[in-house]
Amino acid sequence: MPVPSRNWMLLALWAWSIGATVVRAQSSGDGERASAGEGPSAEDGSSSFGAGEEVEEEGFGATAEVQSEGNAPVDATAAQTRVELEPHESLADGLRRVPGAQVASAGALGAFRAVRLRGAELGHTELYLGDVPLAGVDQGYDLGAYGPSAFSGLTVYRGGAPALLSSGAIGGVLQLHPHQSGHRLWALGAAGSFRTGRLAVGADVDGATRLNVALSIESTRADYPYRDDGGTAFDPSDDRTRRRANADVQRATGMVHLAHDFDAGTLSTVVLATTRHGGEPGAGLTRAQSAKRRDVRLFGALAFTRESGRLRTRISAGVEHQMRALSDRFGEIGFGIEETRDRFDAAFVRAAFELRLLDQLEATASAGGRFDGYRPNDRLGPSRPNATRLTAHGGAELRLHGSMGRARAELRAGARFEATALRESDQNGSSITTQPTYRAAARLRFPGPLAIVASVSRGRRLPTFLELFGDRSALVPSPDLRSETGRTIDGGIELAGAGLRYEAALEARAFYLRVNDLIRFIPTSQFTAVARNVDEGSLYGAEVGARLRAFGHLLAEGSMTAMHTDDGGGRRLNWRPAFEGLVRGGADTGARGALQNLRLEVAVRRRGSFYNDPANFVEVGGLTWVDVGATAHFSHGLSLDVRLSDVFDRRGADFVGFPLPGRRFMATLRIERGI
Amino acid sequence: MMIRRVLLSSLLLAIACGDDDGAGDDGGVDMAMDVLLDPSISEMGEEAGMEAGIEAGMEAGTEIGVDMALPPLCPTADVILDPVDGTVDFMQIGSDFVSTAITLGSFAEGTLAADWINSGTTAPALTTTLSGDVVFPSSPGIDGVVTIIDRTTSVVSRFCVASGSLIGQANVGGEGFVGNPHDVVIVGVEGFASRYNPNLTPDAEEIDLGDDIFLFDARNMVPLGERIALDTWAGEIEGVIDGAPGMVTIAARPDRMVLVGDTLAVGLDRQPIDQGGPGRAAGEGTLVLIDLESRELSSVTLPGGLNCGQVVPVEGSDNRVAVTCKGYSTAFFGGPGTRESSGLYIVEITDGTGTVVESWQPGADDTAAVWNVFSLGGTLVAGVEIGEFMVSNDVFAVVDVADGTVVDVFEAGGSFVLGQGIAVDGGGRVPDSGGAPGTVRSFTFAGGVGSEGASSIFSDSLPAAGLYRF
Repeated sequence: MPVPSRNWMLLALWAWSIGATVVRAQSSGDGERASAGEGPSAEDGSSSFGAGEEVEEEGFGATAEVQSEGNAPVDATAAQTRVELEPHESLADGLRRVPGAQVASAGALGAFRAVRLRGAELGHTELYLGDVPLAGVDQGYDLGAYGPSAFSGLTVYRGGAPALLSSGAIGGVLQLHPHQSGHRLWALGAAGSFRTGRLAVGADVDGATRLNVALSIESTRADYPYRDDGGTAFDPSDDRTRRRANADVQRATGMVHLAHDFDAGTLSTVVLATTRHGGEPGAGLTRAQSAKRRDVRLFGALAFTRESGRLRTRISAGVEHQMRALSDRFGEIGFGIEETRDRFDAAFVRAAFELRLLDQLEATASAGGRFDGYRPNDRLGPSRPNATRLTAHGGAELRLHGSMGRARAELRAGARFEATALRESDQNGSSITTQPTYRAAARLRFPGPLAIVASVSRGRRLPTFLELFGDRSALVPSPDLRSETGRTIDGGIELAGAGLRYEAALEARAFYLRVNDLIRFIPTSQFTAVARNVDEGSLYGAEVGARLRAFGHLLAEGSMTAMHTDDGGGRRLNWRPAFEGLVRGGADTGARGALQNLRLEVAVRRRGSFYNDPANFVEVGGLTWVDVGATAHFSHGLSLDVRLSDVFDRRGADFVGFPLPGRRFMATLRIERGI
Repeated sequence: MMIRRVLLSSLLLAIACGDDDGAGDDGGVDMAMDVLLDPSISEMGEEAGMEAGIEAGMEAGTEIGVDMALPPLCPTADVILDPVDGTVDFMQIGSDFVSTAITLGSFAEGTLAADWINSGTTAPALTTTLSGDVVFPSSPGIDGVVTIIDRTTSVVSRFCVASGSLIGQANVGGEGFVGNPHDVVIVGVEGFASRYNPNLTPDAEEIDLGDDIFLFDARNMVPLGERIALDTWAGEIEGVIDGAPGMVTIAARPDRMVLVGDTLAVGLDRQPIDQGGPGRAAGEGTLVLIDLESRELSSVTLPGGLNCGQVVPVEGSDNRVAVTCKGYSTAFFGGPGTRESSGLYIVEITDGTGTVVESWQPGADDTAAVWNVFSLGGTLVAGVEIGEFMVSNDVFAVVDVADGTVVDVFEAGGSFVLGQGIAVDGGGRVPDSGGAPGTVRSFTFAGGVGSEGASSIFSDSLPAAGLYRF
């Protein structure tokens, strides 16, 4: 991957990413939700040993989830928010409803997209499907690869994640949930601006044998308009409005989740397949016309869960194959001439044990191993050796809970250890890295609506193949790299209450994160760079999530994140908006004739200013976007959703040079029939 | 309109030919050119404008200094930067490869305008005001005017220092093509930009092919629709592909340029069209000479040298340039063969013909000071030997190209940290991005002895990456 000198910012982007009508946004600091189980290991890590039933009330942005007395919470101490995705919503839409989460995108549907949690790096978020990791450290993740119809929702853990996930992420974990309940068939079709279309079908079967299937195909031309300044910032005479060219994307996602209850336990499997191909437009200024991108991902996992007396056991294993191809025969994007076809293969096994030692004391232990193989191939570039990574991890956590007077208290403390060995096929030596991480958290719930929570944790991000071994071309090896590390402290309150005419919940947390040894590619010549542990940063801020339903038909929810960052030298960390917030409001009409309900919604999202560059010269101004929508539910399970996003056509960009689509329309027709 | 421009160009070139003040540093002639180009004068009528311009130029010739009155070229309506008072001696580029800040300074008075223009001077749109990869022309050009070359966006911008006004901006790339301009020379109304990148798109328009010298109107800052192709020095040559011998396609890759009389001397890197690809090869060291009147091309071979893109004027000489060959390895960047194919050359250009009059190639124990070179006058050339990452540090040295004497002056604290420096009163200043942000080191060189002086910081917002004479 040759990297001309002018593309270091692009490199920063690319380097780590190589790689229902019932809307529920549950702050699960409340944590006492207990899903029916999902994911390859039936319960997705957010369900709990001894968990109770979920009590769902139709609402806007919230599900009242009531803790049954005696139920053990999932991990009430974790800062987690669950969002159920509406049929018209993308993963990014869902993530924007989560406090502490900031979505960064390089374009429209199918373009690179990732989430930043509490201001950590994009690469400090780990992606899980159920309770198993969906991507290794070397692949990175790109939310633009996934069609949303395959997932019923998502949960975001900010800071430390539950021990069952065995994650040492610095920023947190994004957990995707496959469909997992219901007894129905459904189908939807959507069409919108820029020749965007989506077709999706699915089936859900409940019982001792549970089957959930979802398939979707999407296509967009994504030829949205943007303003091209020609690079002449002082001279508007050459400015013109262009349409994004070569940004077309076709994307397909398929998910099958099958589970069966045996006497001995529950066996479940999940298969996820995605493919995405289309043009690669590059930056707005370069306007690549011919570059193409294609990626295919196959993921399968098998899990067995058994509960016996005081012991609950989960064992899971899986495989993953990913192929990523980029054809840029004319060097249009700016990385030089490329025709890559890189392959990633992974296999993993994990085991977790939860043991109730005493009524108030539980222990969780987990262990696992993972193999990652990387086979780079660039038909037009220099040959590069294959690389492998072997990772072993283990951890333990104690959970102490009980009553303190009228209050209920919970204390968790755990540690995790990870060792990884990397090797290139033509090298005798290897790089071995070990990293301990830990998390301690407490929650005190008072009688009534108030609970207070606090936690401290340490996370890490391991260096990738590319960072350690380079690419035999523009990127120079750097075998002595250390892991990036981060320490988080957070604390806050949770409020939940309900009356005859209202139902409300609020979570507010303050957080502090310090990251060290951040890895950056440092140019060593006009054409070469090397990864080094050079940067650090500290962040503190607050995140607030709130939801309200009043008078039976008025609905509101909001999420907000405000933070201050410092790179250690008095400058702000780049790409971190000081403020990001979303407020949504809506009203239901209730049943009127054939119309079962009509919901009208308006959402206002504000992203504050941020610096695009580490030197803090380039300040990207704040922007406010307004979306409106209406969803009509008819009889026979038919619904129609129409939505106008970015009403005032503010457009904007999360990364300077990569314009976002502006005003756009989408209509979604969905039908659901019980079986 | 075009015809008028050509006529004006011819007239101005004729004036320039009769002047021997040196390349690109001619206040009198340039002043005449500027006056000719002043819209207010144009309003007088074409003939009157010409006469007025010539007269003004002749009068101003003895008076013009760096801190002269505002050149007529500068529009007073487009004051967009802070006007700068004082005598500007140099321009400093601060860069972290993401952002750039340009500082103007005086050796006597210090900083005159810290971060005068930077990546965030205007609110970002599709691009930022300046990218992280910006250079100045090799030759200072017109007094009182700063020309900035943004290699990422292919935009050339010209500003007037005393007024802070914008003369204009020209994109010298093509339709969706980033030309990666490495240098600009302005001769009257014509601007010549060396476009380093070839355009590999099969259906590219001829004007957008790159790997050439691209012409633009330096007054109105618009393309002239003309390019000077350098195809003669591109094509297939023997090289190495993935470790095995093979034919590799190279581009001319024009880098830096110096105007000598009416001859444009262009250094070529002559490297593969895909610099990160499996093929590695570099063409024989070549300095191309372009007769700006006839557009005829000739070349000077630099024996034993490869990767010879940087050419700088020789201090105090009207007809000599120094060319540096940084060397090239068919194995990997900086690999075996690099030192052996590096060197310095003094080329004398007379009547459009170039001759290598002095040359030097580093011996095994010599400091290979072939990066970021500048002339100290005569046959003395100062430059940097780039260190090997995590193994050795950059070393700054002075080479007498005539007798091969190499004098180490100082060593940096890391590799790839010493940037482009400038000569100052028998010594010079060299930016050091490995030190405190903005560090500029100084040295003197006299009697064959070099010694380091005190360091300065003119702006600490970014690492100092390059210094250029104003």
